[in-house]
Amino acid sequence: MPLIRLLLLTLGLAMPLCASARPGLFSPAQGLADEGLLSVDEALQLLPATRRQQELTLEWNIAPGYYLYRNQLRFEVLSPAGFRLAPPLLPAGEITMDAEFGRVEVYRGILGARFVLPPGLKGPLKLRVGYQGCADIGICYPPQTRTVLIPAAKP
Amino acid sequence: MSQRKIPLIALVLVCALAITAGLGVSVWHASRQPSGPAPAFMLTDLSGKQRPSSEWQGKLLLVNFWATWCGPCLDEIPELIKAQQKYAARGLQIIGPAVDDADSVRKMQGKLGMSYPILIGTPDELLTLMTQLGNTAGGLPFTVLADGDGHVIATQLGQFNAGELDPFIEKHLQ
Repeated sequence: MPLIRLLLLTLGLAMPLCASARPGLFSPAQGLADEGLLSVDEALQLLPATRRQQELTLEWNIAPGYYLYRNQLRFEVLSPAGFRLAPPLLPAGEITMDAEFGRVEVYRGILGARFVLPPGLKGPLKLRVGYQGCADIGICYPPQTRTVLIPAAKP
Repeated sequence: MSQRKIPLIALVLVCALAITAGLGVSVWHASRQPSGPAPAFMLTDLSGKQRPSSEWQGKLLLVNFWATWCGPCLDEIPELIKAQQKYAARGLQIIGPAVDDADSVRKMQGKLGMSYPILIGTPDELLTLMTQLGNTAGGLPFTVLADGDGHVIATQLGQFNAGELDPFIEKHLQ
């Protein structure tokens, strides 16, 4: 029993000291980044698109502690010209009440956006994908835009 | 070694480790404090006027990068407005470069009643400036404090929580 008490005491002493490892108020930004803020591509990782016949899926792997806004998702067909995508099928996200934005829907973990492509669209596709997200620690990344190349549907 | 001495040795070892770790982190933080002159910049205000960074020379300059799509940025703006009023007479000048389009910024400025200068630049321009100031991740909000000679004193990536902004400013006021 005295040993357990001593261990608890030492833990109690160690905790405040270890807490100084948290980014301090006057820490430089680089320090904070080094201590755990992921780059946007690590935090909100857009995975390679998958296409099965006329079904296309875009997926994100969202790191723990980060989230994507549903209303900031953008999809645009760059080529072939003249095609527009129907709105994607998206899962239900997490609803949060934001002081400024009101009711917002966010995604965590794996997010899949599924599209049913028009029947005439068999060839390769080039899409412009937009998204934006934040970290739970109160930092947001600027809106991101990526160009995604999708090969032709396999016969 | 007697059985009684083992807990005592364990206590001394854990304390020594904890103190070493704590001191090490403190020293590391201090050594990473920003220093040197802030990069000069020229940004446009909402009336279209070019505003060079030299305009605020001689003041304690707090540069708060923000955007209308950034919830944490909007959350801390009321505190920045209060700070500008509270510390203006002591030489504080806040400016708010927005990584955003002018129309959205203008609407938000009116909604929040932002009284300090709001500046606009292209996203590339502002991201480059933030990177030069140490914000390599490009996250917002990002706040930089520079002294009257334009030397960076402190930076903060992320939102100020309640009660954090005033000490951040007061520590460097005359």
